[in-house]
Amino acid sequence: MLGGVLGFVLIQHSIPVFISVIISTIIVSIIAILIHVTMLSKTKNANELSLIIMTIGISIFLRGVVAVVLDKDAHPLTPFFNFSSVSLFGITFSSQYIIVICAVIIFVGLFYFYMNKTLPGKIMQAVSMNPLASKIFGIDVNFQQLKAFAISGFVGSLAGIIIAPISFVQYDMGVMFGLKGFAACVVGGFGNNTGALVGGLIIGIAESLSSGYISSSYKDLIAFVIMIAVLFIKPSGLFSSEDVERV
Amino acid sequence: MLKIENVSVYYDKAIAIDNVSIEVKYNEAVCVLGSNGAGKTTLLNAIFNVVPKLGRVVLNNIDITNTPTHKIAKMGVVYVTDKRTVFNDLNVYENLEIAAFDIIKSSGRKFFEKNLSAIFEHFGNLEEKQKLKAGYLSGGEQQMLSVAQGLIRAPKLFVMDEPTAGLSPKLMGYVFDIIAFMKKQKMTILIVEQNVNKTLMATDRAYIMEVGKIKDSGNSKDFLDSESIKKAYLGG
Repeated sequence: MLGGVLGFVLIQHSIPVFISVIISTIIVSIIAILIHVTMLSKTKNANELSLIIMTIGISIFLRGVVAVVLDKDAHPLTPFFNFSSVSLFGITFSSQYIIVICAVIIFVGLFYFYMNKTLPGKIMQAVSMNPLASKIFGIDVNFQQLKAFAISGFVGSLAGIIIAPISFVQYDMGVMFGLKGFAACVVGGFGNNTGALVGGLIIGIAESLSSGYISSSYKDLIAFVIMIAVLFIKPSGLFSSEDVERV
Repeated sequence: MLKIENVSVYYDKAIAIDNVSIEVKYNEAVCVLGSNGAGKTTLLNAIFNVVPKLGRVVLNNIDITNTPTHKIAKMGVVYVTDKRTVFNDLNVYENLEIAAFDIIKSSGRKFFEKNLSAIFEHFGNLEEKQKLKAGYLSGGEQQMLSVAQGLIRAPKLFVMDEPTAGLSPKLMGYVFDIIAFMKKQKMTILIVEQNVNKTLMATDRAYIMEVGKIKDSGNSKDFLDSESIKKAYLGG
C-alpha cells in the first residue's frame, strides 16, 4: 500500500514514473528497516505469533496514517506505457499487466537465484531454519532479519506501485492483496516460493473463470474457498515436501 | 584459554547454575559430568550467551561476558549444541558451506574445498550424501554432520554438548574416535557428556556437577569408579 501511495503522490507531482518507482521503493525499504529496528527487534520474549500480531497492528496504523494524510478515496493512476490496452490472441487487457507479469518473472527468477544459488541467500535461509545454529556459526542473525525486512519492503513497495494502475490507489489497497497472498502461500505451501507463485496463479485463474462462468460478485470468495479446500486435502500445501524430524 | 568465573543462571526465580567456576587450558580436554538437570547444558549456553547470566567469562584473556554469540563464534570457538546444528532444508554440502561461511569469505572457496576434503576423510558417509537434504539424514548422521560443521571451522576451542546422545554404540565409538583425533590436532576441548567412563578416558580433567554446583574436580582418570561420580549420578 505504502509503495502504491508514495508512487502515486510522486507521479502526481510530475516526477517520471521510473524515478517515482525507485524513490518509493527506497523509502518503503527504509521504513521497513526502521519498523524492525525500533519495534520488532525490541520485542521481549518474542515468538512468531506475537510478531505476526505486531506487524498486523503496524499495518493498521500505517493505513490510518495514510487515510488521514491522503484521504480515503480511490485514486486512478494511468498505466505506465503510452498505450492503455493490449490485444493478444483475441484477449484485450490493460498494458499494465505486461509490466506486472514481467516484474513477477524477473523478480521470482532473481530471488530463486539469490536464495538458492548464492551463499548470502543460503545464509538467509539458514537463519530462518535454525537461528541458534546460525549464531553459533558466526552469522549475525539480527542483520539477516534486517536484510529480510528491507527486501520485503522493497518487493512490497514495487508490487504496490506497479499494481496501482490496475487496482486504484487507496489507503487499504494492500489488505485484499495481503489476504490473497496469504491464501496463495497456503495453497502452494508455506516456505516454498515457487509453490506460492503457482498457488497465486491457481487462485487468479480460478477467480477469473468464476467471474466469467458464475458471477463476479463471488470473485473474492473463490480464493478462500480454494485455500480452505487445500487445508482439508493437503494442509501443508500442494507443493510442500513432508517435514521429517529426526530424534 | 577459557575461564568461567562465578557464573550463575536463573530461569525466572529458579536457579539453574549457582556460582560455577571452571577453567579450560590450552590443548586440554575437559569434561563436565553430572546427571540430568545438573545444569551442564545451561553452563555451556551461559558461556555462549544463549541464556542471560551473572558472572564473568574470559576467552584468551578477552572478556566475552557480554559478547553476542555470533561474535564469540568468530573468535575460533565452536559450540555443537545438544539440539544439533543442522539446517534441515539445505543439503549436506550447503550445511557445511553455511558453517564455514566466514572462512569462505576470508580465505576463499578453494581453501574451503580443501578443508572439506579433509573432513570427508573422517565422514565418508556424509561425502556420499552431499546432495541430500540434512532433514532426510538419520539422527546419527545429523549428529555427525553437526560435528563436521564444527570441525570445518578449524576451531581452537571445540565445545560439545552430549555429542553421543541418542547414538548407537557403534556411532558413539566413532564420536570418541573423532574426539581423539581432535586431541591429536591440539584442539582444546570442553565436553558435556552422559557417557561417563568413555568421556573420562577421552579427557584430561573433569568437573562434576550436581544441582547447579560444581561438586568436585580433578584428573579425569582419577574419577573412574570414584564415589563422587556415583553420587552425582545416583544421588546419596
